[in-house]
Amino acid sequence: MTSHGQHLTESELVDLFDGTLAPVRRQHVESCAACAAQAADLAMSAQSVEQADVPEPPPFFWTQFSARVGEAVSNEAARPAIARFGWARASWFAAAAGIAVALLVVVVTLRNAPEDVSVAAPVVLSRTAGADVADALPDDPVDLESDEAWAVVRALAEDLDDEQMDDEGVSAGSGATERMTLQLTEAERIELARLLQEQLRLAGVSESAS
Amino acid sequence: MTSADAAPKDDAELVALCRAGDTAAFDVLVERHRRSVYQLCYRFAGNHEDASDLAQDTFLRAYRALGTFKGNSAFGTWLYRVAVNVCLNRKAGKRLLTEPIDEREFTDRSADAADRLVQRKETAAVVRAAIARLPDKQRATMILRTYQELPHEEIASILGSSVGAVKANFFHALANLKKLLREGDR
Repeated sequence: MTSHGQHLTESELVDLFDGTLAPVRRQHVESCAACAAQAADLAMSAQSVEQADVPEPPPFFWTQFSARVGEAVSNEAARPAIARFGWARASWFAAAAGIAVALLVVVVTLRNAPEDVSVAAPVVLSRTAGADVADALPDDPVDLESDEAWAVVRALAEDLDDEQMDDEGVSAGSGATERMTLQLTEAERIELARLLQEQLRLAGVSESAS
Repeated sequence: MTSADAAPKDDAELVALCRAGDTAAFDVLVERHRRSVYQLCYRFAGNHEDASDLAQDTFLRAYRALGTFKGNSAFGTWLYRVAVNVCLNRKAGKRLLTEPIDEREFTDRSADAADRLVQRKETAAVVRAAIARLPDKQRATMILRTYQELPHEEIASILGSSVGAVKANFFHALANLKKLLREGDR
């Protein structure tokens, strides 16, 4: 069978509807009842769709809409620099947060592991001077609201949304990061903040983040 | 140069001003694109309230993401991409409701012209409801192709798919709509 004789593909039917189908294929439609019927169906469906107008909103709507958007944008512009980086710069935030999440998982997992299970020292702690810093650090609860180191972690976490996390290949259940971070000791939080600040410096935005 | 300068600016110039901190330039972009973005959102949401929220969210997200706009496509196309993502993401978290079909209480039923208007509104609402039942990609393709009148290439860019996939989605969207509208007639 020649291409002239073959039935139209879905793509060709759309091309026919658009008026961009090659003349040789259009000839086929003229001699093929099945393709002609499909083309007619397609056109009829498209025609019914075109009838569905969007109702015009109330006349005052546009002014209110622009005002609302303008207010939201002004608020956005007034936010600290760390909180309004664009996607390009925010992507590394997601990466940093990904690192933070990974570190937290390691720390929490190891801390919750049974004592008779031999495991390597957590990455977050192995980068500090002491051999087993976790045991040596105080475990007292601290006021998270006034914890400066923790503020860095919070600022990063607040700036992330699910889309960014997904785009960076990081996924966690809702509130999972918060739950994990609340299990850290003060020393671990400080170390986590230090590592994140190090990442911030490497990315060249430490001034904005402070 | 600021957005307040007399000469009208194209979108790319306004985007550059926004990036330099001129929020008034973004106001101009909003004014320029608000209707088409709202209409696109309405096609997804099916009602004014949600369409309004989605359109506002679209502009706010676009503002936040201006740094990633490279100018490879028209600003409007990029904005549609943001809007489609906002609409599809919102839809995943919330079941959007379509407006009631019957709006006859606002019209004079005795007049032929009014009857035709009512008929047209009813048909439009039925079609919108049918479109709302299409799978996401088919619906997005249908909306961008039919109502925003975008070429397949641009739709492919917005949806992150191939031109072939866009054509296939358009074909199946129309075929499914035919079925859905027939079901509605029964």
